[in-house]
Amino acid sequence: MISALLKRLGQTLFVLFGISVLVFLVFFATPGADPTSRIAGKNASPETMTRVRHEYGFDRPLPVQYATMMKKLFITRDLASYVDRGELVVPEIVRAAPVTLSLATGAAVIWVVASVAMGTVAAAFRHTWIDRSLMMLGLIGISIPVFWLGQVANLITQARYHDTWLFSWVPGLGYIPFLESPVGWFRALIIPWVVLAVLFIGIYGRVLRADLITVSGEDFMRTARAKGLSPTRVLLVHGLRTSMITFVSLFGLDFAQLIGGGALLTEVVFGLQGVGRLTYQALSNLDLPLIMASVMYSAVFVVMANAVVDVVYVLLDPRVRDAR
Amino acid sequence: MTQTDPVPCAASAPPGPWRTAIRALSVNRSAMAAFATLLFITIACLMAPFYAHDIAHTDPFTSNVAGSFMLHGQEIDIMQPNDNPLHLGLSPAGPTWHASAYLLGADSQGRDVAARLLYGGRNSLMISFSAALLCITMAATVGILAGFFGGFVDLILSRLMDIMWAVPVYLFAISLSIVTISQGLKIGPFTIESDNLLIPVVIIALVYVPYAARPIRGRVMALRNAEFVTAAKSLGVPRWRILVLDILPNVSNTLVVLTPLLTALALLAESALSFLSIGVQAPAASWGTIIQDGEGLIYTRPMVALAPGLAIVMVVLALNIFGDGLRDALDVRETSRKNA
Amino acid sequence: MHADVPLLEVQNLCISFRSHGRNVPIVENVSFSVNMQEILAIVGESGSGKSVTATAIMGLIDTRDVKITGSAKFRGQELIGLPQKAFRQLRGRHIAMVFQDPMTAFTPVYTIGWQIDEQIRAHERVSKSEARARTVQMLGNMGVPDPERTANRYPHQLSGGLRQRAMIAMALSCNPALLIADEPTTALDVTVQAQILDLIRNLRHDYGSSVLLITHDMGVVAETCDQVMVMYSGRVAEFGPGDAIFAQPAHPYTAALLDSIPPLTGPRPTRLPSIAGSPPSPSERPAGCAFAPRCNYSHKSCETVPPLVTYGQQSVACVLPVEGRALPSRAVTKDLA
Repeated sequence: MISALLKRLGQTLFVLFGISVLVFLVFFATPGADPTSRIAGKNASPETMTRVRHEYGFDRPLPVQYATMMKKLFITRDLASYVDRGELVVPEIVRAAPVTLSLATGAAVIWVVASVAMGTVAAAFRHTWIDRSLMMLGLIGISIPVFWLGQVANLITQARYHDTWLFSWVPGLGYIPFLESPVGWFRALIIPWVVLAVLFIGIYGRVLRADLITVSGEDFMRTARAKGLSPTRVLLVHGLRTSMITFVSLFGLDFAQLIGGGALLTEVVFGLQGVGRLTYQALSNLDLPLIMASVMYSAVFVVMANAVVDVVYVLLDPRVRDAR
Repeated sequence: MTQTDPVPCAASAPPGPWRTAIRALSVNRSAMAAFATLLFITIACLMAPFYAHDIAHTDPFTSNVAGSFMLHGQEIDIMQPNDNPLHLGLSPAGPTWHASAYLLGADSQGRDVAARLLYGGRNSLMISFSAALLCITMAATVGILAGFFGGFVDLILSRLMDIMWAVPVYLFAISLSIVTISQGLKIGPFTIESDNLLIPVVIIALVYVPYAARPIRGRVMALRNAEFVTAAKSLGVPRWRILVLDILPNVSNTLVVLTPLLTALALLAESALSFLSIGVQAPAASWGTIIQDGEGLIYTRPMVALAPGLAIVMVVLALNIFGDGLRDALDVRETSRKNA
Repeated sequence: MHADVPLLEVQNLCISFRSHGRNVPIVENVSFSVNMQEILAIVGESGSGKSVTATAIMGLIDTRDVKITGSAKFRGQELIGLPQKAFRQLRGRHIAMVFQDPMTAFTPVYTIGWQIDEQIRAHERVSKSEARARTVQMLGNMGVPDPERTANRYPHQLSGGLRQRAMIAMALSCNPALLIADEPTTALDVTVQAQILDLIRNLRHDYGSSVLLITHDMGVVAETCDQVMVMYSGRVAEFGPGDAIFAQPAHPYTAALLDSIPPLTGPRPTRLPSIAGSPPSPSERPAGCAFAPRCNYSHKSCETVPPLVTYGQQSVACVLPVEGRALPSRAVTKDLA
């Protein structure tokens, strides 16, 4: 047990290290141009260039550069944006985090509820028109680019039907902090939540249906029926509960990726000042330190979430519990 | 059992797996409809220059804010007074629904949206399909090496895939794009300019390698332990022959099934990158860049952004339906893991 | 309930599946009955239709492509065509089933005790603690050591034998009149097999249950059963009391099955006789007697399906007794039974 935990911890640390090296290499060792000018931004003065070169150790070997960068990111946390007049990067990310967290959490609630309902209903009515239309809906959801769906949602709720009773309650684009007005927070986020959730409802609904149908061929499902349980109970208590194991492991990863900035496109379209939009703004003026920091933080987050998923997995599946 | 029918040997030889699959696919109506849609859209996009020159008579790459066009014998300005009550500023012309001129209206620079849609589609489809092929090639290399040799090779490659997979796909793609977009790519004597379409192709292919490599590796590992491979090994068949003659043909159906699904993912990724203006670079167009152009016009001339978006949805949906059909026809499982 | 009315009476049961636009018969005209406190064995190779018969009686076949005709009366109640809702009242409570592979027959994510409690509470209004008390008692009765702790363990934490005991405990938890055991010992070690068979044999005394035992193993039959029904390729080959069948099998297939039991006493033969060939698949059954292609005695009159005829205490679907060429009786029988 202890040794297994230590092994898992070792793996996590290894992946963390690997990611930091990967991101570092992408940003500073991609062949093509001097990383100094990438950091300093367009048309930087020679003085800035020298300062950057010295600060990041670009005149020294790669391992030293890597160490310097990690120190600036995680220990001193004084990584500064040159394009944005020396704004400190890490606090900026911390400020944006609540927005992203709100967006991802709300969307997650919607997509979990909707996809569980969709997958279960489709599996219960498998090979009927209900199943087929639900699965087609899911496939359409998977096929819509989220940023475009956001635009369409804006077009409908902000312009075309904004003056009707249907959408007159939708506030203008932007984020309203929860502490300022819970109702406003909810109103501002409900449309982005739904838009972000659509893709995941499609994916999870389809995955869950497939899992449920696989599970329904298992011996224990036959046992459950032979016990005289109702079909609903067999499907939900025995089938769904067993299928949830895959579902949860998928969910952990996706949720972590969203928190880590994966919701960037949604944030951009709805003008939400989250971590993703921060990255987007950095894109437009090639603010490399900021982008690197957000990518690095998000990767760290995903790896941590992986570890959490493993723990939840253990709670959900007694077989795994004993295997370690 | 006194008489035996003469068995027609050659005629009733069982059809090969590919032929069976094609037959199964051809009776799958939704898959065939999806394929027809794809074919139609692809051909339409390839005809882009013809449409621009000979039907719409426009140049979709130069801005034309001062120009005008003829419709029903009337001359109409491309940029028109705004619809808003104060008539402040100018809006581009809306859709005319006439193929001869500004079928879908003009964008903010007065360019023909319909013509740009076709040109953009050409780029989008080309990029996503090439990216999918490149990705499959890389993933197959990684997956086959890891799965076939196992041990140390597998350990290194699988860990590398784990690491790449931990970075959100779009963030990974954005990181690579932002680095290459500023100054292009110099590898030894080769320089790839930052507006080269190869850059998005390589980036998108790269970020989806872990996604595709995993099922391939699993398939190869299963095959490696399959009886016929063990038999070949015990007969002393050299490893490379087993790899080429036994493993590769049996992995190929997994690769075929993955291709449309990856193309769909690549198209979505390409449009997202282009929408963030770090994919296809102006003046070249793609469906993503047109949506980006249309963002500012979304409330006044929504068609600019709606049309390319609908095109993306149609193509991705058709690819997914076709991919599902292929998967059923070839009876391949384990590829259903999703995008991010 | 009168002792002379059979608990389960199956008549002319036919089950066919539609496949590629064709009706493929799996089970044809099967009739048998199970009396109170009786153990009936259905014996046959895999694919003989024995499991499908049991599944049909339980109402567990849920493909739409299946067609079931004939009659199966449980305590006079017709089961064929019974709505699922009514079936649920019977299943688990009056008719229970034990499956072949105890590894996969329990839901992996719940404890054994939880799953037995669930069955009890599905049929009776009892509190959680009452249900658990009964569960623990049942487990104890089935010879599970330390039943309280075992109830709190997950399926994968138990050995195959213990799991099968738990499975039987679950099946018996509502005191069913009929227990259908589908190859209950096939997946178990030989020593554990004997223990489980003992358990099944004693059920009629301890619980008053009848048992429908499905197996491919004549050795298992010899140790447990009152009545034997031998099935071959979806049809009844021979039916009758176990003693009679073991003493004088009337169907060549039964005889061949008996030959393939390893003797318990005496010198071990170097090689057990086996039946050459394999049973036909349901879609390729011959027009006449299905066993004819593998039968040493097959001749001209085997080209039509032989009717079930009475021969001594058994009924048999073979032309040999009618033609006055019955198989010889067997000497070794008493050692076995």
